[in-house]
Amino acid sequence: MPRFSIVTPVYNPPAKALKACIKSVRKQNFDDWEWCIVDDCSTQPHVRRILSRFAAKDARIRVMHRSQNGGIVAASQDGLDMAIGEFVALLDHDDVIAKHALWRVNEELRSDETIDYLYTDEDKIDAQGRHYDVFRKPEFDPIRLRGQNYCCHFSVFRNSLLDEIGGFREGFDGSQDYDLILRATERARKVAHIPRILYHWRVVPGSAAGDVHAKPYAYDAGKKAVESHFARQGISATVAKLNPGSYQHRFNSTQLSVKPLVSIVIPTRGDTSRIWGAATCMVENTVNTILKKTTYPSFEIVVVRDVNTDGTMVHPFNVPNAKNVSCIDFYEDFNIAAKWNVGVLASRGEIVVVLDDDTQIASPDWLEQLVGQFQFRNVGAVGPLLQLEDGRLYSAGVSLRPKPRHVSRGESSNHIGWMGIHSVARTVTAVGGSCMAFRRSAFDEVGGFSENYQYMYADIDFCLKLNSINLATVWTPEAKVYHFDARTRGASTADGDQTQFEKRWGRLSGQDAYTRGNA
Amino acid sequence: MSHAHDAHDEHDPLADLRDASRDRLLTEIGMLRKQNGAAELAAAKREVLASRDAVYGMSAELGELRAQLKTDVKNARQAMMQAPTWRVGAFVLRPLNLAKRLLRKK
Repeated sequence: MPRFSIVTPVYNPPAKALKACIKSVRKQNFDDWEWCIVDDCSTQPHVRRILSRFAAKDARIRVMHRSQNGGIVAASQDGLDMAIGEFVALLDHDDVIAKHALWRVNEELRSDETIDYLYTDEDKIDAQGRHYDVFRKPEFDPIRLRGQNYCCHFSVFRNSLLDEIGGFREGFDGSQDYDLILRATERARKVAHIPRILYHWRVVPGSAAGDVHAKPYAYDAGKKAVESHFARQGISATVAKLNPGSYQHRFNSTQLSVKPLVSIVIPTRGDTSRIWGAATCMVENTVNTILKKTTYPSFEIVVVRDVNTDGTMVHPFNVPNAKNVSCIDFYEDFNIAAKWNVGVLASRGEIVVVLDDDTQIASPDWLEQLVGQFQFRNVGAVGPLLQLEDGRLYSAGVSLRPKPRHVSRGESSNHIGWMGIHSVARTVTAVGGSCMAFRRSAFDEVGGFSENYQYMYADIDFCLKLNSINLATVWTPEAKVYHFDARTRGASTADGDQTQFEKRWGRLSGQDAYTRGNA
Repeated sequence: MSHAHDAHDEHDPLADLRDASRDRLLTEIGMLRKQNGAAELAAAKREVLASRDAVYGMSAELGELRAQLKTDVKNARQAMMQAPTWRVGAFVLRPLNLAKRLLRKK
């Protein structure tokens, strides 16, 4: 039994591209492979000629000629049926793999016997053989996979897992690999990623790589694959097509099977500043817009206000006298982590959202979108898309590369971002405390926010602590919140905070599993 | 005289309590105990949080120290292998190592 079976459905590729594809496999510096090529009744005569010639040269190349054209799914499934290798690698008929691709994949698989699915980085290659669009992918991110098939090429599956899930499915033409990856990763014991470019995706006229609009049916099939994934998970969500290749999923109140009480904790001093030209008491504006716009049925607001030692407010303000709004006095010196902790301890919700007082919700269903993400396993914290007053992005999550920073800060919120990262929910290393939702149980487990930090890093530290107990932090663009950056306390920095952060997490600075490459 | 008069006019916080009924005092004591209890409970919860955070923090610091140690060992090893004595030793022992390798192959 060979170690690898490479499966390639073929239909009328240009002769030059097909030859390059075949050569790239034959030049591998790892020999234990077989190649299952299925010619889906190509009409161009050079295809059969080239395939026959190479099959005669190399016994490891097995070619099946279908008697009638059945489409990509049928041809790919025939290839899987031929495959007897321990692992199955998918290769398109005009693409190229790096010379050491199979050797590198084999090394990775040898390092851990439980790896059932593996993917690598990739780039694109044009007609002149020039490489571009290098896609340095994140570590395995099931959240992002629900929004786009970012794993794509080079995908290698354990053959027994493919048998278990039943291979390719009819009705997913053009996104059959996306559907297969979604189903495989649901069952895989372990998913691995090789951060090396081992696959070169050729751009030819009419291919999906060159023109995202070339195969519109593929995006309908992709949407169906995501819907099918949600159905298998038992999660009700509305899936829609975004930019080609990306899919959004949204939750509404009726779709949430449980609607836990959400506590919104807002620490404040009661400052006033100008928003869109008008002098505004920030916390009053924040609370009022939540009460006016929020569509989620069950929430309370806990305002943690600074008071002087005589019990008077530092900057007096009024919040509506509503049943679900309460105020807690905070007498201590400024420490944002302490204020969050005091607020959370005074609240009752199963889900807690810490929210800055210089924010304003932009999407009425923001809580549905934040709470909805907690339906997925192992989600510890969720953050929304934060926008500046002028609509530019304030944060698309927090990255530690090259140092702690908000991803895409200052970029247009209308742009989909590098490889669509602004348009789909994804796992991030952390989200900012300007707006962060988390489970109370997780908060209790990790000891809340560390009061060793005074101004900064307590939020990132919290997410890293969650990560240490295998709870992921998710960023979703479906919940939108305006953040009038640091209007209420000024842009404070504290060297002590940075020292403290480095003392705990210095080894993680400079690298980030979820923002590699240009993100 | 006027001094004594002023003193008499000042509000005596205990005077009210001296005249209060037993029931009222018991109610007030109960309320204060409850308030104190709640404050104490909140303080205790925060202490529990701080302790848990300290545990996670120490675990993270331990990880940090381990990573630092690993880097230091790597650097020290590299420095050692760059040292003239090591290089001379490696050069002198090269035939022996080659012979060992050949024997192992056989």
